[in-house]
Order: sequence, then C-alpha cells, then structure tokens
Amino acid sequence: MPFDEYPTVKAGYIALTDCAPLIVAQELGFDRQAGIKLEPIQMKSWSAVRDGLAFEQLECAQMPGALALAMHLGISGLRVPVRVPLLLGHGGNAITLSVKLYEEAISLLGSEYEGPRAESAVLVKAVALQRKARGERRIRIGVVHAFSSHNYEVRAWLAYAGLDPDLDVELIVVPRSRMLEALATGEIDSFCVGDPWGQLAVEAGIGHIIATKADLYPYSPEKVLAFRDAWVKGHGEVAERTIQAIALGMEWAAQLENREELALILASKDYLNVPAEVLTRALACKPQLAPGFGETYVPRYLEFGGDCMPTKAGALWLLAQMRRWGQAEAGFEKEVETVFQPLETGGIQGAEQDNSVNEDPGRLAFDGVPFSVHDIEAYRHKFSVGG
Amino acid sequence: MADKDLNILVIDEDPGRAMLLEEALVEAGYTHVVTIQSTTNLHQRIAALAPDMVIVDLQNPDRDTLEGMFQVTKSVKKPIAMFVDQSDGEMIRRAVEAGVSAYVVDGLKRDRVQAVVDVAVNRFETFQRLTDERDAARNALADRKTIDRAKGLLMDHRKISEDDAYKLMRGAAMKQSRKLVEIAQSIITAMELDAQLMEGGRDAV
Repeated sequence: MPFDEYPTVKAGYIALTDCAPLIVAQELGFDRQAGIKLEPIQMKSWSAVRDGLAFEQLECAQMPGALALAMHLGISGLRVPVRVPLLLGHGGNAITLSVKLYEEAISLLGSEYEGPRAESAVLVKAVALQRKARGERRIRIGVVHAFSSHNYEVRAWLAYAGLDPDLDVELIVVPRSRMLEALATGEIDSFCVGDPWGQLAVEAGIGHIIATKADLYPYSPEKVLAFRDAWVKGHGEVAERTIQAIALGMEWAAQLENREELALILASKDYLNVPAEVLTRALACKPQLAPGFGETYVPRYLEFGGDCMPTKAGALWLLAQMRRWGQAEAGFEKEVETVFQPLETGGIQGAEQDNSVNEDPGRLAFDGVPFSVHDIEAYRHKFSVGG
Repeated sequence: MADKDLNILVIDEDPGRAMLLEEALVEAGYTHVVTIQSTTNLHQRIAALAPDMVIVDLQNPDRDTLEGMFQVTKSVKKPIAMFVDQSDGEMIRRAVEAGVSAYVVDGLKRDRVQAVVDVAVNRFETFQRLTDERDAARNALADRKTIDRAKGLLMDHRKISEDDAYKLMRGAAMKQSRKLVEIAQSIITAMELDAQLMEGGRDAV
C-alpha cells in the first residue's frame, strides 16, 4: 500500500519538550514503518486539545494525565471515555519565580537560599506572609491547567511550607503561550510550566527556577498519550500501529546519541520555535536554573523511555491529587483504573504488559507521605493542608 | 424577546468577528454585552464583570484561564460549566464546528443559552464565509497577476502578441489538464532559472 493510502491519525500536541515522541514518530518515519500516517497538530490550549479529542477532530493527543481522567469522568468539558495506553515522558515541570519576587524573598531571608529545591516554597512564604500582614495583593502563581500535575505540584510544594494555596497565594491558570509574557509584565509573579518554558524565562533573565517536578514527585505520571476509547475499540489495529509508531519515537528520543538531533528537530519553527541549546540542556537533565549561571544537573529532570507503561497506580495517584484539592467526588477509583491500561493485544514489542498496582508513583515523594493504591482517601487525609 | 438582563461577555482576538457578534446580540435584544480583545489580566477583568455567559472562540488559548477560574478558584461567585449539559450534543457539535465555545452559569435555562449560542454560531459562520470569499478574491487577484507576468515574459521572449501568448498558455493548460495559473507559474520559474543560468554562464566565461 502506498504511504499516501495509509490511514491518517491526527495527534494533538502542545509546544513542549515532551511532545517529542509524537513529532519524532512523524519526522523520522516511524509512522510509515508502523503502517500509519501520523499527523501531529499543534494546539494552543489544553482545552482545545481536550475538545479536539472529544469532538473527533483528533484521534489521539498528548495530555496531562489528570486532564485525560477529568475528561473521562466528565468533570472537564464533555464527558468522553478515554484510553491511555502509553505515558509520554517523565518530569519537565519547573516552578519559576520572577526575578523581582526572588530578590524580594532573598532580601527578607537575609541570605541566598541554599536549602533543598523541594523546600524552596519558604521563599514564597516569606513574601506571602509579609504581604498578608501589610494587606497587599497576594502572590499570583500561574499554572497551565486546573487538571494538570503542574497545579498539584505547586499546591503540594506550597502546602509543605505551610501555605494554603487557596488562601495565602492566588493560583491562576495561564496558557503556556502567554506564560512568559505574563511573568515579564508582572501579571503573575511565578509559574509552573513544562520544559522548555521555565528555562526560557531564566535565559531571558526574567525568572529563577527554584524547584522541578523531579525534586517533588519524580515518579508520578506526567503527559500521557490519550485516545478516545470509542475510536480505539473501532480501530483496534490502527490504534495499535499508532502506539507502536509513537513508542518507537519515544525509544529514539530516549537514546543519548540522538539528543542533538532531537533538539534540532524540536527547536524548528514548525514545533517549539526555541533555541536548540535550551532543549539540549533539558534532554541532558542539565537545565539552567538561574540567570547568568551555568547548567545544574537535576537527576530525572526530563526523561523519555523507561517505565512508559501506564498503570492503575498512576491513575489512582492522579485521582488522589484531584481528591486532595477538591476537584473530584469520592468513589471514582474503579472508573479511572480502566483508563490507564496498555491495549490488551500488546502493540509494543517486548513491552511489559503488567498493569500492576505495585509500581509506586509516590516513591521518593518529597513530602514523605506514603501513597497507597488501596486507600487514596487515607492518603489524602494525611495532609494537613488540602485533603 | 431576548433576556435584556443577561450579562454576556464576548472574548475574541479578531476585532472584526467580535464586532459582528456584538452587533448581532444587541440587535437580538441583549443589552448587556461586553466585548474584550486583549486578554491581559483576564482573571481580574472577568471577576469584575461577573458574566452569566461567556462566548469565546474555540481556539483562543485563554479558554484554559476561563476554565481554571470556573473550576478551581472561588473568585467567581457562581460555578460555570462549558455549554449546558451533556444532553445538548447537537448544539455543542454545531458550535464546535463553527469554532464557538460558550461557558454558562450553572442552572441557566437551556433555551436562554440556546438562543445566544445560535446567534454566535450564525455570526461565526457568516464571518467564516466572508473570510473565505475575501481569500478567494485575493487569490483570484494574485492568480491574475501571475498570469499577466507570464504572458509578458512570453511576449518578450518569443516576440509574440499578447493574444498569442495567452493562447499558448491556455493550450498548454488544456493539454496537461492543469490550471492556467500553474502553467503561468512554471513559465515564470523556467524563465527565471534561464536568466540565472545565462548570468552564471557569463560569470564562468
């Protein structure tokens, strides 16, 4: 069959480093190899990605895992059953303070902050408490979507320092495309966004990255590949080939020797339209964290490959965050468990098919609160803020 | 008669389309319509306006901000959901196809919402048609310029009349079953290449 006649599969994505597996699958012809024609389509907002999937303008999409679940449960947009057969990457999120807020915090603390990145919310706390005492406006922190790990990570990080994210600061949603501008103009004082946008704020001299996802919940799910469940059921073989193509893209992206080339592909105008060096640093887990400083090695800052099979435990972990922050009613455990599952028939050669609950997405969690797949309510009740 | 008391906020980065929609809503009897284009400080502005309904183009990145406000924070008094409820599949589908998304106060009656969404869908469709027509007219103009240019080159090169140059091109188009403008483009490309080669040749000598 000529390539032009292969079934076309439209895949929505947002301009972020972790869209790489989709882009690579198409750019390097892994789609052709798997017997499909993948068409990556850049979207401007997560709402548009979600609706594109719901209204059949896309067959699959890169998505925050929580948004896929929220869509499935009907608590974000139209209720449409989804299926997540593959995780797209690990890490990438960076909590960034504006230079102004950072300097304000440092002067209040009296010295440079040298504590662990996971506990750096004390910087925000110092300023937040002072503003509260003076009756000044609260610190405004931008996150990319309500149903995103970014939102949960910022909240948990603030809570760990003893701040109430709903009372002591103001969390607002700002689309990725407006984040840097909003930080530069002072509309927001801080943000949490996926790579490379935190790094670009640093490079532009307007921000300091003070914590990353890897410092907080290094093994928790990040972006996923989501399909409309009905489409997967009606197009089993094409769905499988799509997963295969994207998994090959991910495998390629995970190879050290491909970093430079991957950075060049993603950096192009068609995709992220950013300097390739910034992406090379991210792919080496050596982001630039402060303006004028060199690279810092941050283990697991951003990675592809490895444990990319979705698990029930991952879905439950996300549901637990949604519960902790009051986004979902109780009792959805059974419903979300079926969403994060590889296709029965496989799709990826040699991939682990064990959709077990044993892989703990909460391991090495910065807050030290043990996660239990058997009782997410007990887990969330262990927190004094949120829960 | 439409609900005069319904607070409607239109967010659209395209000023032409926003104006078209606002006019239509006012004509339909909605008197409380506010339109914003620049979305700086959207969060504060919406909290201040407290709309019953927000109409925003589907591709607008600020939809994430809107949804974030309605779902998570308590800065807007009333909870707002996208569209009305799950049962309005047909209305939603038509709106999505037209590129309209609507956020409404929970509990707002279906027919009140439907009436506003209908106006919006209608105007978005009209706007799309006008844009398509304008683009088509622009393309037609560009095509004519290309054809004229090729004609001129042929006349110069072959020392033939305008009429003969045109006939030559049309004949080629019919024979190859291609559009006249494509033939014209090929002629221009070929002649430009020719001219470059001639120049290059001179340099080489």
